[in-house]
Amino acid sequence: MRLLPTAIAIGVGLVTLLDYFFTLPLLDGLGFTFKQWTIILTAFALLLGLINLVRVHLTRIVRRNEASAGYSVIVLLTAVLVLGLGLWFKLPSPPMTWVFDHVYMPLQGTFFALVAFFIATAAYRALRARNLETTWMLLAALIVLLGQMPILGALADAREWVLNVPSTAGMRGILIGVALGTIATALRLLVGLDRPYSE
Amino acid sequence: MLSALLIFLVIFFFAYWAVKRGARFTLRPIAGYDALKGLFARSAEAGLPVHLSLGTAGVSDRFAADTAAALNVLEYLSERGAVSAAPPIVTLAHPTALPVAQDVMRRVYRQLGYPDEFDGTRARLLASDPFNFSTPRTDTFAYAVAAMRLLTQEKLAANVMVGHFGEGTFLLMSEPGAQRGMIQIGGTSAPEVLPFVHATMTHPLIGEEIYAGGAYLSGKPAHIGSLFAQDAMRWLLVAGMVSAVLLRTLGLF
Repeated sequence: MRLLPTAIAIGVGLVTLLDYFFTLPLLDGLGFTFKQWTIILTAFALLLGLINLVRVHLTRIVRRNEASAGYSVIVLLTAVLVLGLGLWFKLPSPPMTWVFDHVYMPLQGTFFALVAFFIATAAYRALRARNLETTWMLLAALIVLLGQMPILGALADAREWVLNVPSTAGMRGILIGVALGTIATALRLLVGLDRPYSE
Repeated sequence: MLSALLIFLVIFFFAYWAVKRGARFTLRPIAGYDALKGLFARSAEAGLPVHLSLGTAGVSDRFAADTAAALNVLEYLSERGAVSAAPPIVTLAHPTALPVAQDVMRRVYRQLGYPDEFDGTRARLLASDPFNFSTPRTDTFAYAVAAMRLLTQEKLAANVMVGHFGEGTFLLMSEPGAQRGMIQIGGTSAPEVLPFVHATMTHPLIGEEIYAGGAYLSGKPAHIGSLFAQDAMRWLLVAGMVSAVLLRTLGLF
């Protein structure tokens, strides 16, 4: 039985990979079917996630001595309310749209605003000239920032150079490394040498 | 593309075979993984858990490799956590990553002989992107905010973040820890997030370093073999690029 999940993973992975490289009616059909199954599995995984969320917060409420157990009550009530609205009115529907537009989006906007302050404190910490490495970072940041000011037009070329040469070169190097790392990880899974899904 | 993949596969199997036969490769030190190894003495001594974020991607999307890299870290943290009786608190944002994360933890406890000690609620789906479950977005703020609460209010030994993150998500989760002076180890593959990784993590993992976790932490032959194949392919790519530039410069191509 230990071999079954590995065999399924290798089989499905190979078919999907071959479907990417070759155009054959059989592979196209199988590839499409597997993508449909992924969507169905994701929906069931979401159900498991909801059960997990309820378990975590119910445990916190039952114990009572845990800090912020009151927030867990709010989480569960909100989950039940939104789930109930979705099941009753279906998607998309005016009540669900109202919840997204008037509750979720403003909350998201509020926390997005917080990012600005976090960027300021993180930049302060990162750009302190503690050693040669951070001094280079500070210098590059100053050139890019000041180069955007129309009054300091002389720095505009330096800014372009920083962005187009060292910054782009570094980013491309990282991207090539990430691509190789992704291929290595995928191959380990594909040949069954890395099995996070089975014993 | 297919030929490159086949070359990669050949080098990978050769390196895997060599490691299995006893060949030893020297790995350059990565501060993040060294710190991770030293983390559990501190965690066990203080009796505090480590928080591990698996990121916002799942196991079936285009960032699945990042999640797989995070699962390697989870396996290591679960092993150490099970032994030190301070299991990690694992949070994630994509529903497909939850059963896999729970399975990794369950397997570790079973292998170590404490199957009853496994607690499924140690892996938590905090919040999922309500708009699109099949494609990870970079603005999974609900997850980031829920994790932020955990990081600011719970007593933790350290914060470990490995996986796929958007800029805002990563910063919202890592900056509170940095302000608290917490030990933070983490990284992601997205280049646009790396400035925040560098600014907020005490031990940053830059780009592809997140994929090396299995080789550094568990030393499995398959992971060391794939690391060798990555480096070999990198040399081939660099040689190809330099040759192309030279040929172009000399007008031969």
